[in-house]
Amino acid sequence: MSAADIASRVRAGELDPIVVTEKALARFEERNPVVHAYLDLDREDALQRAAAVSERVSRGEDPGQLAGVPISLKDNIAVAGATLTAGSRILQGYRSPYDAHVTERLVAEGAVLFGRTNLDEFAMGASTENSGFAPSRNPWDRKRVPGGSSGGSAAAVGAGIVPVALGSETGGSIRQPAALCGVTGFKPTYGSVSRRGLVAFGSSLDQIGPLAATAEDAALVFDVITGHDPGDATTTTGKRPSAFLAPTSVEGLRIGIPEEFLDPSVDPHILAQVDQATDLLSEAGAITKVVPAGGLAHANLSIPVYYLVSSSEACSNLARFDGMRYGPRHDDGDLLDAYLATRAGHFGAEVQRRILLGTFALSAGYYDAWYKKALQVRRLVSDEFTTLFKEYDLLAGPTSPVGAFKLGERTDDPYAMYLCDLLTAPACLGGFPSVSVPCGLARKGPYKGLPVGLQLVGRPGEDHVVLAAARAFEAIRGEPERPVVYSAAE
Amino acid sequence: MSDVAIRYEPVIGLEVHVQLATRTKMFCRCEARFGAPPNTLICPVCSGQPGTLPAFNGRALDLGITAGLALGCALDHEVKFDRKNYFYPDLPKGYQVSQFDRPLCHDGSFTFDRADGTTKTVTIIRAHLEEDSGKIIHPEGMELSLVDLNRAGTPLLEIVTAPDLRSSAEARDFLQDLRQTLRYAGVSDCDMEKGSFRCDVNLSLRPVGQEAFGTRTETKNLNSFRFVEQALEAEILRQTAILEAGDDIVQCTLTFDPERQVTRPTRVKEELHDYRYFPEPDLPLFAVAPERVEARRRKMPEAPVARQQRYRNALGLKAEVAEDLIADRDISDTFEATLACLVAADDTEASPAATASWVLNDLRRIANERHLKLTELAVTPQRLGALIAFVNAGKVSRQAARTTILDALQDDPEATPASVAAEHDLLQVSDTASLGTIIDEVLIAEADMVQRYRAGKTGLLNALLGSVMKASAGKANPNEVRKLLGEKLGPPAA
Repeated sequence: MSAADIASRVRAGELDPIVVTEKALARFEERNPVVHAYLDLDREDALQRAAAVSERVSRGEDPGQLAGVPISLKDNIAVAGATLTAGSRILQGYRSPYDAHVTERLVAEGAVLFGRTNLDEFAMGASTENSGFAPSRNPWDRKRVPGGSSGGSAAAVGAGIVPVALGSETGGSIRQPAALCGVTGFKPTYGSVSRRGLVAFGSSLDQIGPLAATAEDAALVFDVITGHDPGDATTTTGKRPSAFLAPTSVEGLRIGIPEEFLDPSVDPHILAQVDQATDLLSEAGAITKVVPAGGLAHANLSIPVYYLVSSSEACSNLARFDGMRYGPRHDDGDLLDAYLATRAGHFGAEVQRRILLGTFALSAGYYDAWYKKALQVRRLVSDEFTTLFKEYDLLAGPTSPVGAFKLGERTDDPYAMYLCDLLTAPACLGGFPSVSVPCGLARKGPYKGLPVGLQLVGRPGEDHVVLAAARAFEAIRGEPERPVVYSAAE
Repeated sequence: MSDVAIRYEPVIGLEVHVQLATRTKMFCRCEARFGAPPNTLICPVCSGQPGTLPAFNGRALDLGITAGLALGCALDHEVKFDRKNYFYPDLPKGYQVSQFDRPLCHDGSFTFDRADGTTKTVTIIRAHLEEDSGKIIHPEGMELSLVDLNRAGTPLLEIVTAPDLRSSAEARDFLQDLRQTLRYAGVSDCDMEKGSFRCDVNLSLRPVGQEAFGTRTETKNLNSFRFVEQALEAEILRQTAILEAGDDIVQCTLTFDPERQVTRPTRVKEELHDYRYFPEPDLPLFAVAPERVEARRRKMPEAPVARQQRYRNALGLKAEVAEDLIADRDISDTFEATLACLVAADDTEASPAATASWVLNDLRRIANERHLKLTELAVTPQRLGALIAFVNAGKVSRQAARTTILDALQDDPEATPASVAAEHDLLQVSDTASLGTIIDEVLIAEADMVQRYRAGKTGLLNALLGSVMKASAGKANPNEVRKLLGEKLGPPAA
């Protein structure tokens, strides 16, 4: 059942949130052993939260827009009293003393917080194989990765355990796993959702967003979590049109398909699905056009720029994990020894690699050549998008150059893993809203029978336009196929 | 002065950390207060919990603007914050939010009084906003260190001067005046004991007459004027000895040992500090509206220097008195308020000099005796003004007022000068008839003295006055007595 259905039936008093949660718990018991989507789930807590919503209904109060909807949170989003590992051993056992802004919003609207989902350590990765605990599995094929870093959230939704989960994205961490697991993933405009309570990775890029079985549910959740937060100075003020305000029709919508998104490195069978999807859009009245090469001339630099900027910010953001105030600590030797042992002992290899990269890029004498230069190119990429947005309402292309790959396939080659962000990083660099919607399964090739994602990118602040287009596409496309694990029970 | 100082000239620049007098911390709503039990004024933000973000306290900006105006600085039209990255247990986030390439205030100047009465102007290179760190406590006899984060996140203004100072005494004079100015402006309480005014000194030596600067060292964390002066003297000696031995000064950071009166390089490994500054992504540029600056300018209190001049010129106070009054803003404010009360009451006898004496001597005595601040006394400027007016009206003697009545007013907030005077039988006799009777009796009893006075021994007037006072049991108004005595005795023989 979709989040929208659950909420409307709970609000109408036709459905007991406790029953909804019990069913989700049953699906969790059945399917989580297959997908390993969760790092932690407090069953009692989930049931208590459902009971609280149930009481609101029985008192005659409006239980809220997400009444009774079980929502899973990526384990880098703070919930008071719950674990907050960010997928890292350095936070093993840590419990957050406070709620994230999005947590407050979800609870206020009657959502039932349902477990902590797995991720690549500190959201650094594209497969959950960098999780400090264990990788999650793709609900379509458990030998394959669910993508990352919000792979746990994507797998939980993809396996049908919950209708919606929150993820976070810095360079593609919502949209890429959404594409690989066949669900909708939405990365909002930078500044439209508060980051307060999100364990920081690349502060100028990080954004929380929903992963959902339907675009409608993604829009519903986005409407709840978006808004100005005085506790996050980067959130924008001003009116935010509801995600349900824009017409769910693509008629007359100008959609550009940049040649750069059709990069030769993209799997041809993925391109074929995306091609079919844009044809559908065009048949439905959208004006689609391939933007000739050169429109996003610097998009090919997005990967190095993204890794320089995010790693620089990360090396600073991760400095607080020193074992002094929380987390495990090694006390042998002097202060320097304690720092070295704690951090080298509990950060994984990828996190250490990025801390080193970021530390180097910010170093005296290298700052201008690396960090500053990266910021300049970031601006160029962003400006190119802005120019295209004068002619196009949306830009479209594949979300990921590859489908769900096999576990271990890319772990030996960090750069191959980094290339997963090739098509998603640009929207992050510019802070643009972007969605990945399922557009069928690859027919041939290494990803045969696995989901493909269509990516739509919009103007900053036009989250509602992007989400409306995604919902329109969903209507044209029809009910997506579901993995076997999904249909096991409902 | 040793002959050494003749050969080398000290070149001194200062970095002063001033804690801004905000109620709450710079990026969270925790109280910014000294002296609370360890780690009781902390929250997820200032203790660096994962996922927390800074929310900028506009009051810190206002005080920074005021400081900039008081130091004659140009102000940036935006606040830009940067992260200064380094590891230390008292730094919860592993970085300090500070300002790197765009300080809020820059290119100012500050004129101070030197001990010899001349003035000197020092260039203020910059003054920037930053957050304070926590504190590390090393409990005695224990093999561990404790961290108190109460101070973490308290707003600071770091003021950096050009190397314009030339002696330790000059550095001290500058700091004293700077501290006074910042206190008057309400920027900070500048309480050195509580660490809200801390100083790092940069020193190099150069042969007298040489233009180029020598290699400088930095002595950190000096928390009293005396230590600043002593540390500079010690460092001058240390550097002089090195130079005279023909060696080179090595640029380094030092600490001052007040017990041994020596400076010592810190034991931190000599590695180049690379703070990897970069723009703080959690705090976008924050506009400093011109209206905001103007509002702060309008609210600027009178600078102590201007106030001192006004005391001398408009109020006709002596230089020493004016200086005494402005040394402490509480004293100066109390003086002004008391004088204002007297003027408002149309007391024609009220004099600034007498009022100053009341505040500086009598009120301060009570405050010292009771261990209270001037502002905490029950004797408010209004009540002091009433007492002075009571004296001026001849109701009681000044002597009685400054002792018995002043103490009684402090003890009983309900008491008035009249009620205390009545209770203690202190009212002066001023009416001519009553005084005339007493005087007549004295003149008869002292006929001998009267005769000698009339014969030209005019000095005896005081003795006669004394006798009258004694006969009245001290309650006669001496001015009236003197007047009446003169009339009754008539002019002495020429």
